[in-house]
Amino acid sequence: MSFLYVIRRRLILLLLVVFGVTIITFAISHMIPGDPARLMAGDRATPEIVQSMRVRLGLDQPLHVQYLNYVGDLLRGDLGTSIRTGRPVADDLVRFFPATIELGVVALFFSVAAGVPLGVASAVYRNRWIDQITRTISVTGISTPAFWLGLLLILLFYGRLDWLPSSGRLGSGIAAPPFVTGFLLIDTLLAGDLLAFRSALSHILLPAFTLGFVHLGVVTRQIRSSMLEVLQEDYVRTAKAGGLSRRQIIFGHALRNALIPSVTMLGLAFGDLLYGAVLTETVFAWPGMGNYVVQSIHALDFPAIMGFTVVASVAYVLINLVVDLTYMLLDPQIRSVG
Amino acid sequence: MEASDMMNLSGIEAPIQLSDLRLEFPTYGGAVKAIDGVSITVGKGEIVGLVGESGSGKSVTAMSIIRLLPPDSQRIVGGSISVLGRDMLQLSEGELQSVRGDDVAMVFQEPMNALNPTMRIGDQLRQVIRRHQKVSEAEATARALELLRDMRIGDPDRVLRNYPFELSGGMRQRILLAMAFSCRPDVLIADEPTTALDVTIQAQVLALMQQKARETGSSVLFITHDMAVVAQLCDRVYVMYAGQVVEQGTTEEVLYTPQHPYTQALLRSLPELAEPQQPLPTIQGLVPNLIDPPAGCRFRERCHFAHQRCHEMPEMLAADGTGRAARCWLLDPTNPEREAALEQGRQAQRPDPLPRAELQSGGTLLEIQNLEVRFPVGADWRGRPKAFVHALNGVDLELRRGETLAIVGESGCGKSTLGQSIMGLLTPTAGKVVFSGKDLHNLPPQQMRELRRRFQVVFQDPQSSLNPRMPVWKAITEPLLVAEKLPARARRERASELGRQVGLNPDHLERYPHEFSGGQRQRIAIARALALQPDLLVLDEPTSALDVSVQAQILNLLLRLKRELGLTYLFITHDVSVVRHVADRVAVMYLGQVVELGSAPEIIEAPQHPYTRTLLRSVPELSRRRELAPADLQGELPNNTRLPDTCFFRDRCRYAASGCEQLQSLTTASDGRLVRCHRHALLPPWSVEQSSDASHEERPAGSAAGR
Repeated sequence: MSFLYVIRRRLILLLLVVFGVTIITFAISHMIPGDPARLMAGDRATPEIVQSMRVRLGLDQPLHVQYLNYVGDLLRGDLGTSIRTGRPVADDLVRFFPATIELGVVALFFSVAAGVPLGVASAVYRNRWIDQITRTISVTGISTPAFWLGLLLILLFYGRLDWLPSSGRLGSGIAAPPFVTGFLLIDTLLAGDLLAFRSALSHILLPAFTLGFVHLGVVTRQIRSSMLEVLQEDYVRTAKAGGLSRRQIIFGHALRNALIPSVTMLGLAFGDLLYGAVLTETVFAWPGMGNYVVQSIHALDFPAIMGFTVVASVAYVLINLVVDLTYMLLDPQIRSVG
Repeated sequence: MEASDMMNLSGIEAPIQLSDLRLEFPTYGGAVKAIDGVSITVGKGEIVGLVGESGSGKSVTAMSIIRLLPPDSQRIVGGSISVLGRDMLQLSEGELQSVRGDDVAMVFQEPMNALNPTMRIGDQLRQVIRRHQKVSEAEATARALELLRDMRIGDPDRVLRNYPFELSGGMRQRILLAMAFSCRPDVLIADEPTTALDVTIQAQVLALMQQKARETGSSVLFITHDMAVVAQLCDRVYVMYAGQVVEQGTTEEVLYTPQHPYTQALLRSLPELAEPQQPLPTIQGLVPNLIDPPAGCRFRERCHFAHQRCHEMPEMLAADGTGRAARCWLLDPTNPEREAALEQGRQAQRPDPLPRAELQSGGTLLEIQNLEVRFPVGADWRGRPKAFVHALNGVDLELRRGETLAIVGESGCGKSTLGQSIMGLLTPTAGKVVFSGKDLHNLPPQQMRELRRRFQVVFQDPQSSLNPRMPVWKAITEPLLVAEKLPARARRERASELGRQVGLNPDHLERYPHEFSGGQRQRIAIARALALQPDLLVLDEPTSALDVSVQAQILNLLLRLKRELGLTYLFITHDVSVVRHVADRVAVMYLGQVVELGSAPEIIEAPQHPYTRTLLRSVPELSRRRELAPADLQGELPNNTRLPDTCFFRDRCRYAASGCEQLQSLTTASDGRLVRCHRHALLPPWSVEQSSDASHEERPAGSAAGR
């Protein structure tokens, strides 16, 4: 199966997903009681003002026309105007989305960087004390509610020890770097502002740990079980019979093969991280999509909700495309035959 | 042991010396005594066979020699393992690592899984070489190339860059052999290295292994279940049963005049030595449970010679002054019960011969016309297949009512695809399957369902073809539920009847598949196939996963059922000795075509098509006294994504001449058989070809011996 074929199939899938998502969100936004025109016009507006607002928003037109208008705008990158903030939804997303992605990526990085070695150690020392401890950690991770862990960490590292800040992305006295990627860890470095970088880093540690901890348990378990499986394989026996050292066998032969099934899971996990971010962001007052979406929902801000849903779905499909391509890189057989 | 005594007398210790080794696997149910007092010696430069059926402990013995079993899953509770003078039980893990792959190398059974699928061949070879030798990457590459060339691998540069999945099983086993020989080991342990390979490829690999071992003076311990391979290859042999060595001696001694009743029974159950279509002698009962083995001789309960003394564990008793010995009281000349036991055994052993069945030619039951099947592989950017595997390329066959037609061929020849097309499990690309006058693949679903009752299938692996969560009586009668909506009580009755028919204890039918042995599970699968009283059974390698003693039981059952129920068999197999035993007619397949078709005895006695000849030549036979079957060392099974536009066999054919660049069609030979070779009448008779093989064999031309 060629790379091109996979990409092509995924792009077709992407179109279908976007179509499905827009249809569903569009339908829901029109079924839920609540009149956006009235909301926008305010409580004391006269019926005439509401009506003119309705015309201005195109809400007086037949549904299918409204939908086509919406999709047409979408294709031009126009996600509509937020009812709550009054700004174009696209601008809001550009402001808030990177914060969430940054949090998700750091959390994912943490969970993989800690979870893979733990999983490997757990499999290699199966049923010994390392394995017992690791399994305890991973069960704890899977079963701990993120908001509770977050509060606990704030109490300890902010309240008691005062080592790390409890909220926001940057310290109050620090100027935000010029917007390049929206990821503060990168933008501060690009601006050469080490002080701001340190501040951004210290702000992201607790929320990323909180968010990643749940996922850490999943990664550890997955790696452990696929390592156990791979260590039983005939080629591991061949390597052992060839006199290779434990290190060569575990890292040279077993780990790569054990990673292959785990990669698929990472893509799915990233979706979980995006959803999990909502709670974590609330606890840490992280100015990301989680907060934005929650507030938009409270305000019945349909353009914002729909914009977020569409962008999140696209991101999800793209991430899984990256996962599939990584999969092909890891497994030469899929690369050539499929 | 005599052999080791001789070694010690000459002052050199044997490269492998196991003494009274005892090994257990702890389980919740108790310790499984997998190896119980095994003593084995392999002298310098010797090739020693270790044979036994599954569960005999032969592989565990082999792996324990270089301490390859995971330390926490087993424990060695007694005895010693000495390899090249080192006490393997005292070495640290680090010391073991420097012995493995360097002084002692090992090759295993499944070449398909024995190489890391995500690592290039070159990296895997270099890694082992550089682990034991202080050489640069470039020197290691040079060494790897040389090794691959020694193993007759054409284009070794390309192979070094290949991933395992790009290579055939035979290729991979040669690479594993190259890896094993990379550090010039003193000892090679080969655990069923050719069992998963086709016979022509097996012949190549055995020849290369033997040549290389003789050249480097390595001692070889060769583990196998295949007596015929032992006959060809080994100097001496040990026979294992239930965790013990029960007999040892030179290959000739053990194979031609076995002393132990188990060895005798095992050899007798081989179809190779039996009268075709007559019942094979079998071994009654099952291997004892090794958690709590019965006191005394382990084989006692299955032995025709068992007598009072056998309640005491026999020693290895020497038969005469040589190294041969067997763990049996019959070898004790002072045993007072000996004569009576021998007489009792002789009486009990003969199965009653069946009267020769008249083959009633009942007209055509199944007709296959120009059948073609191809499968797409890969996908380009538009999702269109990159290529096609041409599995069947125009097969014409006719199956007559009441006969057994064997389909024989090597992997990739299309024999299983053919079976599946006949079962209606695959839709052919072209051609027809006509069952009792009806075109199977052009039938309305309702009629197809009706017709389907009349042909049933039995697959190779009874383990995976039975639902593990369904009691056996339900599994057997499930077809009755589907086809006749029979109520449970009626099905339960039918199940007992079917169970009795295939030799299952009717009281055991409430049990689940995992409670049965492999042979019993195959009986269950056969009972299930018989539930709808079919006319035709497609048997797809029904005995290939079974031990020979169990295979004998299943073959007997199939022969009996055929007589009793008037069945017709399409018997798919790769095993020529099974074909010889069961088949009336045989179709030899190569690359999705029938290359020779005719009466089974005629084709096996005197094959005409060059491929049939190559196939039969490669089959190991018990009678080949330490002579390897001559191998055509370069040949590989063809790639069936690109069909040649010449005779399909031309590139491997020793008789290729002009005219062979044409596609061949089946022509009728003088004795009525069909042969797909335009020169078949011009080729030397089989007997002449065989005797010329014996005089100047196509042995590998010794590549600068003793490098």
